[in-house]
Amino acid sequence: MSRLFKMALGVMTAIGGFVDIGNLVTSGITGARFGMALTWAIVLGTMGMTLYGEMAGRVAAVARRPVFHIVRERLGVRTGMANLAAFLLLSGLMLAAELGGVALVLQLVTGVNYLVWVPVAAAVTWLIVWRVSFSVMENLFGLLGLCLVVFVVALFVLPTDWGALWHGATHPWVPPDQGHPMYFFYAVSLFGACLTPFQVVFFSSGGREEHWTTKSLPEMRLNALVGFPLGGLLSIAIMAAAVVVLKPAGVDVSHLGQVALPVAQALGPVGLALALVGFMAAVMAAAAECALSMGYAVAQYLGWGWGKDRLPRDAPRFHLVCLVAVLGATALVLTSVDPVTVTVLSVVLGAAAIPLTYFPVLVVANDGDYMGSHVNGRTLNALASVFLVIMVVTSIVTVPLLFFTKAGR
Amino acid sequence: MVGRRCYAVVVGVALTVLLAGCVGPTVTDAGYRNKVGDTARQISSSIASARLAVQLDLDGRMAFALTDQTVSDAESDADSAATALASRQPPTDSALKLYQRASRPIQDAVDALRALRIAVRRGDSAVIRAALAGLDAPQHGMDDLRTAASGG
Amino acid sequence: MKADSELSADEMLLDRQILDVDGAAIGKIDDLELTEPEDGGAPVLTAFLCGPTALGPRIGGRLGLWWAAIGRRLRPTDEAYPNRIPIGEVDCVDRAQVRLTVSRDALDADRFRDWTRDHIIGRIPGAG
Repeated sequence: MSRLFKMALGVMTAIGGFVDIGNLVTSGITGARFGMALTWAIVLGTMGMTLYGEMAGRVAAVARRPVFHIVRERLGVRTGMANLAAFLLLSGLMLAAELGGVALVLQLVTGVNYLVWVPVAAAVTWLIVWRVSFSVMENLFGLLGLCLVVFVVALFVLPTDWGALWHGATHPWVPPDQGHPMYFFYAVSLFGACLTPFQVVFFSSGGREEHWTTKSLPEMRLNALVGFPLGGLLSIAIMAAAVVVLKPAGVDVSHLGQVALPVAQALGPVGLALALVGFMAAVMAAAAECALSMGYAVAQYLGWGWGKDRLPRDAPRFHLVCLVAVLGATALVLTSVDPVTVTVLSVVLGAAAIPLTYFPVLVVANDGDYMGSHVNGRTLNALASVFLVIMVVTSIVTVPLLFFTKAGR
Repeated sequence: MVGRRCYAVVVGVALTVLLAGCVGPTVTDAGYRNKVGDTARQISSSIASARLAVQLDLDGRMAFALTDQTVSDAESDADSAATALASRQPPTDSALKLYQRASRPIQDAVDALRALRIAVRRGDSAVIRAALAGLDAPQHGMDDLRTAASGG
Repeated sequence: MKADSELSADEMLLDRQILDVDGAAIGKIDDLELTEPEDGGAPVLTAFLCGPTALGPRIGGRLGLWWAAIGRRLRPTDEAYPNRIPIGEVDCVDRAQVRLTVSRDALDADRFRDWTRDHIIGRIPGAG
């Protein structure tokens, strides 16, 4: 495979891989309710993910270790354990959201109730974790996830007032009929959907699965610095489509299917089919990645062998964790709790825990012993510190906002 | 020590998830009016969602499964909102008057959505169009209710 | 064992990943065994301790007790002393890694792993 092709593939995979059920749902909800006023939250979240993703990737390539491996070394047994516990809890919730999302897409396609599809979604997710090779998983779902570009196409086909969209995005005032708490609650949800904890664990562990070395740095940087921002752009496109079609019609988004209606209006059944394929790919991939991340985190904290590049019998405890994670999340979804509610809750609670998962990345990326000459530069550190402050502030306001707005009702 | 911390985290998250679903009591007149206004808003949104989906379907731009799903969701959302409002005790006389004024339009809206859902499943375009037109009056009813609830 | 002449236990030893001679992950240095020599003098590092019985006490609390109990259950005798890797089997300790001179088969560090493989994972089709 030529180098250029490989790089292009990596970028495209990163774009498709950026979007998951959290982005789909929050972009749809906020577009319909707030117009473009919350675009800044997606921009901020994407910038944070790009910054910290590059760092985590660099750590994986240069120090040849994924981040969670070093959390225990750097932060100690007890802090590392608290970190791990919070990560597992939140990622478990997120896994439940993703599995619910897959089931919802299957319901949209077949008309059969989503609860029937939940065990199917769980089984397929687990099979991907169990046997599908890492690169096949990444490439297949990454490329299929690119079908979401249909939202961008839809924007050009619809009678979109680009000036109004731009104006809305650059004038982020709280709409008169929405209160400030609701506005900031959804800002947090968008931010959290871009900075999901499992994303960075997966990106850095994935780097080890693909055996990145210092030579892979340009490729890794391309993925992070081009792929993630384009993924953020895709999220903005989904939001904009809701602004153009759903907001004027007075439709409040509370179901996944409504997010796809703008594409149906623009491009008819073919566009709709592509949108659903994109939904399916993005959410399915995210489910597998989330389950794997939980396995990676536990194995890396305890020093067990891990990895998809080896047979399951050679990393049994890692696979056991992944299996238990999928089973636990499935049980949660089968309680028939509303998947959209679980999604919003998971990104918001995830936002509360962002500093926990992302701070160690900053610490390790600055460690000269591990990183050698590839240590963070001063400007990068300044930028990353600014983001850390933003993350901490977000984390503090999240739970009060959650109670105040009753989870965004 | 860590065990206790973990336990606290688990309890904290569980509580958060549970309490996030709780709604406060509507013991004041203003609280009840807000609730009525919210209900009207939700039902209005359900009507709009069903209307959009069915209109797109009649224009040949939808897949049946999505149309059916959207309309069914709209109907059940409206029904839940209506039931949630009905389960609340109006705290004052003026609140009771507001409820009496609201209950008819709300029921009409739910009925109209049910009729639309049935029409969509039967697949007869003429019946669907009629059911679609049947959404107009309930939509106006919800708009009036929102104005009334906000003190108009 | 090759290493810098002076190490800080906290930085260089504790919680580091142990790799065997082939580079396979054995576990982490969950604790250190220090022995006081008979003739007095400073304690000497005699072994790395690895596994649930070593990590449990460092986690502490109920969770730690439970974790250590798992380690004890996996042994043929209900012995409480953690699994030890004698210093003699350590090849080098540096910033990059902690490497052993022996392969994992020569150690007794795989009870948990083997149990999981034999009783759960190995029984699922496709385990390889």
